[in-house]
Amino acid sequence: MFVDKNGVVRRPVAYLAGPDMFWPNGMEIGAGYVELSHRYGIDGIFPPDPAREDQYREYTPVDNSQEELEKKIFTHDMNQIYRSDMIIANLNDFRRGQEPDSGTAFECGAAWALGMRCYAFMEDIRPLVERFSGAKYQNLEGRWVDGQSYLIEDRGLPYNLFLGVPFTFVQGTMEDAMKRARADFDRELAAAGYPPYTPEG
Amino acid sequence: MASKQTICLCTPQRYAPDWEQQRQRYQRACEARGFALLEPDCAGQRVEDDFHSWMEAVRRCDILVGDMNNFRGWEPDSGACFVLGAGYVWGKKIYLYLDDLRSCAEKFTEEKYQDKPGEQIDITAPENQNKGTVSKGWRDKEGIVLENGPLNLMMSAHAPMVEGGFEEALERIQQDEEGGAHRCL
Repeated sequence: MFVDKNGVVRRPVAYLAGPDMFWPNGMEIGAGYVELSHRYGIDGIFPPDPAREDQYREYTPVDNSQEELEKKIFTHDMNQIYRSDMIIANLNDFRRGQEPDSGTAFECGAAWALGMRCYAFMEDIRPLVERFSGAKYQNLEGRWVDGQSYLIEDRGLPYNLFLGVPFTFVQGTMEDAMKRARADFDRELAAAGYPPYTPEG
Repeated sequence: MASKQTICLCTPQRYAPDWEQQRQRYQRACEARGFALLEPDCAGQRVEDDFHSWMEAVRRCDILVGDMNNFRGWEPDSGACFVLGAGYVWGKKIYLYLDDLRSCAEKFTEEKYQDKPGEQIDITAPENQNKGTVSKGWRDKEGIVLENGPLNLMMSAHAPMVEGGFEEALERIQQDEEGGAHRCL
């Protein structure tokens, strides 16, 4: 339960973003996330989950081409975002680089622009300059740069300011982020005079 | 006379040592084609102010251009991707450019393997209409999917992609503006 933008108390719908579906056991990881979300009074949607019956229309592909497949998945995932109240994003560095999965970053921007609550989890949420695992050194001006002399953003955030400013970063796992969101929602419920969420059973 | 269309550029070249020279070059290229490069006012003391200045520029611009070249690994700059996501829901025209339009799987130079063929579902079948789908095909040595398109599909599914740099993207934008043909899902 949470207090929504209209002051209504209901179960928040959460888009569970991340590259997790790219792993061979991605669908099991996703099913686990959704089950976990229910323990924290959150209605989690893993992107590949079936579309719900509401106003958002799926894309109808005309053939099995790569372009049509991309349009189908893109529309499906955007619909999953549109029907959500919040996003919880896996922003761990992806594929051994220094950036998160780009599709997830796109979804984070969409969710923020739609006014959604934004949470992210990472194993390491220290500021980018500190957690940067590639070659780095200080240039003549004393600023941190990578091996190509590109600046490493040094604003005290785990990523660049786009993800760093609007997101609440939680160190740990999807479950840790859900716990944090639950604590925030319960505080808001209390402030509005409602009891905290209690799991059924 | 109608005011010039404004372009907002999202690129990790902002972190490059020669960014100021690059920026001036891009500005001149915009002007030469009748556009204006819209730069955010990032003189703020607080990082929050810079973020909001940036997003205000994105909200105001007519066209968003994203540099989708790999940045510090196998992914484009996450800041650029974030901006594109916001721009998409705000209905901005989006153009992407990158050096190599081959698929992520083809471009990937590390160890990779292929899923068994025949695992892809028939996406045109009515019973699959509401089903989610996951790309299959090539995977890296950890088993993580490599996209069959030039980028993660959250970028490539909806916006024109240009092989080349900012100037090539501008050329394409100008052609589309004159022809009135921007493809956007």
